[in-house]
Amino acid sequence: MAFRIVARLDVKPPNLVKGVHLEGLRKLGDPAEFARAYYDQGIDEIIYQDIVASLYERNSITDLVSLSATNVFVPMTVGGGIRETHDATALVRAGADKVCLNTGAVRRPQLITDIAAILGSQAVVVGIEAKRFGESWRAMTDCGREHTGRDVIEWAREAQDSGAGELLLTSIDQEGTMRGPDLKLVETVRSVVRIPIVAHGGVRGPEDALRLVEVGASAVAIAACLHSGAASVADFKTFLRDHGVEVRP
Amino acid sequence: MRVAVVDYGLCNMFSVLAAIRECGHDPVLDIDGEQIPRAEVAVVPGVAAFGAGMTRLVATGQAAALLRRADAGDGMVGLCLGAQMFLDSSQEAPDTPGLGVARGRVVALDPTLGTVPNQGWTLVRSAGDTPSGFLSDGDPEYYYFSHSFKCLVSPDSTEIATARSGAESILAAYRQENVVGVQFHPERSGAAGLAFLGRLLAAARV
Repeated sequence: MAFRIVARLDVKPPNLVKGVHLEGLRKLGDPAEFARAYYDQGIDEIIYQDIVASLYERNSITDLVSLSATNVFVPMTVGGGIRETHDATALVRAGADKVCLNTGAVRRPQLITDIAAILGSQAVVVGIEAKRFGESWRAMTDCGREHTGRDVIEWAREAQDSGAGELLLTSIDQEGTMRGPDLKLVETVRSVVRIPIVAHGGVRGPEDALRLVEVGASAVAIAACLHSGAASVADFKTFLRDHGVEVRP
Repeated sequence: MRVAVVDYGLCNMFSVLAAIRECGHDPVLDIDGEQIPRAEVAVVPGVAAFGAGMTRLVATGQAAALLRRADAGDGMVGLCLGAQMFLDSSQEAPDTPGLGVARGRVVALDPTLGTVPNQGWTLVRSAGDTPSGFLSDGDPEYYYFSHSFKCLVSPDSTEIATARSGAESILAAYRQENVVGVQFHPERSGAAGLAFLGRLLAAARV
C-alpha cells in the first residue's frame, strides 16, 4: 500500500486559514481552489477542518464539501463540530468520505461507536491533538484551545477500541512552526494501536515525510509547507520514491 | 447513457454523481426504485455498514427493484459496499441477507495479515488469464480502497481483479454476467479512477 500525502486545509468558512499552534490565523484564500490545485498536482487525500465549528457549536462547511466533491476526485475527510451521528451522515451525504471527530468523541466516546455502526469504521477518523506533558502527551480539543487532561496514549487506545478506523495525530507543539514533526509521538502511538496513523504537524519538507514513514505513519498531513509553496506534492512523492517508499504516481 | 444511482441515504452521493458526469454520462438519482428499471446501468454506491445499508435498501423498495433488474439481465454496478450487498451474505451483519444478485459472500479482513481497515491506495491487477475487459487497458493502476470486509465470489465469476492488503489477497473487482462489483472507490481514485469508471459503465451496459 502506498504511503499517502495528504493536504490539510484549516477552514474558517469561507476562508482557508493558517495559524501557528492553531492560533493567530491568516487568511490564505479560497479553500476549494487550493484543494483542486492539490488534486491536479497528485495529492492523495484532502482534509478539511472547520476550526471554528466547535467554538460556535455549528457546522457550516457542507457547501465547501459539496463543491469539492464535484471537482476533487480523491478522498476527503471533514472535521469540526461533529457532535451527533446526524452531523456525520449529513457530511457524507454532502460529499465527505470520512469524518473526523475530536471534541465530540472526547466528550462522548460512544459517538465513535454510533457513527461507525452506520458508516463503518473506515469512515471514522479520530483526531487527536497532542501537547507534550512531561514524558508523555495530553489530548487537547477545540483546535488546541481546551485541555482534556487525558493521556494521549490511553485515549488513542480507547478511540481504536470504540471503533475508530484511523487516527489523525496532530502535534500541537510542532503544528504551524515548520520545525519538524514530533517523531516520538508517532512512534509511541504506533506501538499501541493497529489502525493507520496520519501524522500532522511541523512538516518542513520531504525528509520529514521519510522520517514519519520510518516511525510507522501511514500518511502525512501537510498544511503550512504546501500552502506556502515551500514544497510541492511532486517534491514529496519524488523524494519518497527515490528512497524506496511506495507512493501513488 | 442514462445511469441510475441508487440513493439509500448512506452513500457519498455527491462524489458518485460528479464522477459519472465527468465520464460524460447522465446520472439520475433513484430514491424509491422507480428509476432503476429505466436506466441503462444502475449503480449502487456505498459508504456504510452492510446491515444498515441492506435495511435501508429493503425499506425503500430499491432492493426489490434491483432484484427485478438482475433477473431481467440488465447491467448493474456495485461500488464498495454496493459490491458487497450484491452478494448473498456478510460477516459484518450475519442476520441480514444480501441481495444475492451475485454468488458469493463477504468476510472480514484478517488483522494478522494486514492493517484493518484496509485504507489507502493499492495497486490492482487483473487475475490470471481473464481478459482485462474493463479492468485496465494497460498496466496495473493504483486505486483507493477503504474497507474492513472483502468479497469472496464463486469461481465462475469473470473479469476478476485482485489487490493486496498486507499479506492478504483481496478481490478488487468481479463480474458475473450483468452484475459487476468493485471493492475500491473509482470515484475517489483520481484520473485513473475516472477512466476506470468510464470503461466500467460502458462494459456494464452490455
